[in-house]
Amino acid sequence: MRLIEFTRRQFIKAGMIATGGLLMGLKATNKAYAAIKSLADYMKDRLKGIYKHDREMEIRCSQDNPMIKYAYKKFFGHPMSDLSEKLLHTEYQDRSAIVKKLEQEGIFSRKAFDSLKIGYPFEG
Amino acid sequence: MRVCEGVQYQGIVPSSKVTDPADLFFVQVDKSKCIECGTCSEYCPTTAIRPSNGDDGPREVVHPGLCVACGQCLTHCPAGAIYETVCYVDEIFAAIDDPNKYTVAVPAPAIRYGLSECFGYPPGTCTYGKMVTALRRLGFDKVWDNEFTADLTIMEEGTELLKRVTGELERPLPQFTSCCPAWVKYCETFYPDLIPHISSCKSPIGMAGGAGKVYGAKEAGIDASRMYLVSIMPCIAKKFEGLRPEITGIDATITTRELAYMLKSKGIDLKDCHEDKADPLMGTSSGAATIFAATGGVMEAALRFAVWKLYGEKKRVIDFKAVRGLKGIKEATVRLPHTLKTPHGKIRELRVAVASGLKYAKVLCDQVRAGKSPYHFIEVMACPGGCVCGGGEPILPGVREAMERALKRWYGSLKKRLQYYESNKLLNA
Ligand code: SF4
Ligand code: SF4
Repeated sequence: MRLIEFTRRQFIKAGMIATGGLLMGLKATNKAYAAIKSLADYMKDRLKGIYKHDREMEIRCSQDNPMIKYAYKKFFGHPMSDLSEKLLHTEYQDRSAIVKKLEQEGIFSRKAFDSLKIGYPFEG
Repeated sequence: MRVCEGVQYQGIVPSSKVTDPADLFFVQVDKSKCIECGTCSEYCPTTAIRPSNGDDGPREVVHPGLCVACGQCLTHCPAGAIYETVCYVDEIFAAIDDPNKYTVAVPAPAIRYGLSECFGYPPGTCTYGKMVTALRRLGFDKVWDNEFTADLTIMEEGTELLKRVTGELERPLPQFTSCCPAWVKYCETFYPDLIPHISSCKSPIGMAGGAGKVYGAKEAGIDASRMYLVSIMPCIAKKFEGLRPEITGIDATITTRELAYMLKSKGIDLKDCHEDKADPLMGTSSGAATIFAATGGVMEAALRFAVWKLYGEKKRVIDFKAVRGLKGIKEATVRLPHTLKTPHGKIRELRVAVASGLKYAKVLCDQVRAGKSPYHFIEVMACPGGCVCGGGEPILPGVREAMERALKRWYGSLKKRLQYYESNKLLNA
């Protein structure tokens, strides 16, 4: 029993470290990645891919997109026109009633919510 | 349960006509797999996921009303213990086979950057052209692009911002972005007083639903009543959004992982697909649209528009590097051509902020609530890193490896080990 407890705690620690991005194991899942990389590094790789593609795009700004110009000319008229308002805009709902109810039932605590740590494990 | 790219799917198929998505769980914990490490709770921005009783024990999403379906718990659980509930995969296969349905695929910007990882490309590889071919091979009658409606969003949301700033529109500042459905639900639930600050613009996929079945159908000559529009998203909360009564025209929503599953189950390998382009009418897009996939991208796209609108053709600024990157809160200012006298006072520069992750958004929300926000425009993405690191994207290699290491090295009990070995086999399926 003690052994299991011990191994579990060890594992938990390892899991935290791995997802926290401090240390990656040696055997990378993705074969292209033999190096040790942190979670944040993988996230940065994804972001880099996006900005690279942005630089390569012929049109860089929304207002220059010819099919956007066409859509306004043919159909919507101009941004925030009546048609735009009807099809492209929306409204929102106040969903706080459920929070109040759950607070009364002891299922939600505003204090716990307000004292959540700012930041994420991957930031180290 | 079906397993898509290492994540389990329960297979609930809700219909927007009968289900209020607010009553649905979108993620839940398989308690038999939970190793009680607490990582999920550290990523959760709302306290929704926690031990079911007291301070310890297996985690659980305690109530759907508290969960904004961001999926950050799921993508970071080192034990692979968290599953998705809703899955439209079978319904979409049936719609594709149904000759009476005209199926339209609308992939989000982040799909072209995430799908690649499911097919062995390194993280960050853009496979736009191959993705389009893959969707056509899957049998979609038309491939549009959510990037087109991202450009449309910038036109509408940028215009709204400038009208708020000048006072032409009587709505409060700062304006918040509305693209992220987990953020919208978060604000509606925990900061209802800030709702008037959220842009009235639908998200890009909301616009694709609204415009696709009216403008798109009319221009392309498609019978809108037969059109079955599939929203392909890096996001679990988009399943919630697709079911919102305010949002029309979206028939089904799937994640990057489920798309990869669908392709693989039909023997389609992204690597074998040639480069192609989406249907131009609602498929042509700009760099401003593609960066929607990254934290700060919507802001940068909006600034590209705003500077053009304020300064005219002569002054073009494309790059706003201050809003890029993984920092939790990023700020930038853009000088105006002349001082504006507005109901909000004299404005000499546009001040903007970007929150990468809801935990950081909370800081900005508390500022606004206290009347102390210095900003005019705030972008919020629930997921740190933005959509490309969203709850529906492939599990990052680091976490997948943690799952594997968990199996191989630390698990003591043989029974448990066997169980993990099984799910590991599924992971590699
Ligand atoms: S991250 Fe996964 S294993 Fe860890 S406590 Fe949460 S559900 Fe359990
Ligand atoms: S999906 Fe997001 S809000 Fe819901 S439990 Fe997971 S981390 Fe929390």
